[in-house]
Amino acid sequence: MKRAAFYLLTVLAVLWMQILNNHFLGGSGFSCDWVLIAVIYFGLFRGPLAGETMGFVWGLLIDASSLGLMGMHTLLYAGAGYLAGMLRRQLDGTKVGTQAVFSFGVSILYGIAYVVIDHLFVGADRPFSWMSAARPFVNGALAPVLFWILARWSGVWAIFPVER
Amino acid sequence: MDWESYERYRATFLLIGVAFISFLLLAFQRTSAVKHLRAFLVVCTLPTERFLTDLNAVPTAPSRANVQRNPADLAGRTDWAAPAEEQRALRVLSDENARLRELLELQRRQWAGSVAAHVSGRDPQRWFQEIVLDKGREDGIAADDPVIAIVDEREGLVGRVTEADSHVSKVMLIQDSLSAVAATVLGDAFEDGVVEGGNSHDLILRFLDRGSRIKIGDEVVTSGLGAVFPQGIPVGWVVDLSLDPRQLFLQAKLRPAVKANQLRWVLILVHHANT
Repeated sequence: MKRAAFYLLTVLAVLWMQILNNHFLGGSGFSCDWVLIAVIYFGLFRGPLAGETMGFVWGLLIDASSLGLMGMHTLLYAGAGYLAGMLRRQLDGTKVGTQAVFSFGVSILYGIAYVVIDHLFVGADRPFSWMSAARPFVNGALAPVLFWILARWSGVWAIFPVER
Repeated sequence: MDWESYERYRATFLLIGVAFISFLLLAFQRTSAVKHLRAFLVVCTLPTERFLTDLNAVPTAPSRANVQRNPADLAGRTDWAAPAEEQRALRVLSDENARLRELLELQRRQWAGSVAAHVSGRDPQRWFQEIVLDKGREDGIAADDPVIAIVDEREGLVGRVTEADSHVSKVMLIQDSLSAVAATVLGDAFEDGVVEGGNSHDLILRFLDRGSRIKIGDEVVTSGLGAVFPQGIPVGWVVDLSLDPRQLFLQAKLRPAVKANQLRWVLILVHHANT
């Protein structure tokens, strides 16, 4: 029960963060993809299953709230969670540098996949946007902050990753 | 098989399942099942949008009545320090303005009403392409309804509704590279063209004659051709002129009347067919 409440509240809190971020910083070039970073966190610290499941749920909510392509963010976030989870043995997720560089790299892959899916299912060639180019850097810079918050948040609930 | 291998395969199978569901959702966007799922999820995320709406709430949403002051009030004022001759000129201009407004209003009567809506969501990766509004089908909104905003007591074209859900709707901005709006240059040129977006702040007015008398500073308004947008809504001002890449037409760079970053409240012109 406690675990379910933790995951539910985390989903809502990060979703709020993302919507507030889009609302106030969306066009500034300093917009951050908090959901993507949170998915990476869950993948790195709780494994691929948690990462892709959380990514799928967040993706559904983001797709619905933005009235965008249903299924686009579910696929991208789930893929990011899976990737982070599969690489968690090779990476030390507790290091700030690793968090920043890995988030930066995943954000670039995410951006490329986003453009490809958009092109496939919308069928429109959209010019390159410098704001999209800035996003991986912002994500990389702010990833350690969200990692720290989520680690503290897990600590409050006393729900820590279980290694089997 | 040890636990780690099992977990790895399980995660891979789950990813395949998630990818399969995602592709189904992507491929069947227009089916009722996907639309129902979206409507349900929108209701789940709506409290957040409403919270933001309340956070940005102003006492009254801007309405067209606010900007349509009666010019006769202006002309009837007696506290002008200007000479009588200037007052007469002002009265003539005011009368002319009133007539023009009446004509404009006549053009707009096909839009039976307007609905004020708050910009409740924007995807930073589609910042210049679309906005999500907190009004939908239940408020009488339908696809292709024009959307305007009022900035500094002036109207300006924002875009048009491309998708209307029960409680929210999506608007394609004129800055979107897929957007095309039939427009007219006011002033000496008085020429028709097409305003296209470029996924950036500025707009491009295309297909002007090479010998056009258009000049920097001219205002561009909607022409009403195509019957999607009413005639006379300001789109922007000319800030630069150049020949198109094939050297066949003149094209003008426009500064939009409403900047994409200023959008908070907008007005949706509801077509009479929907009401």
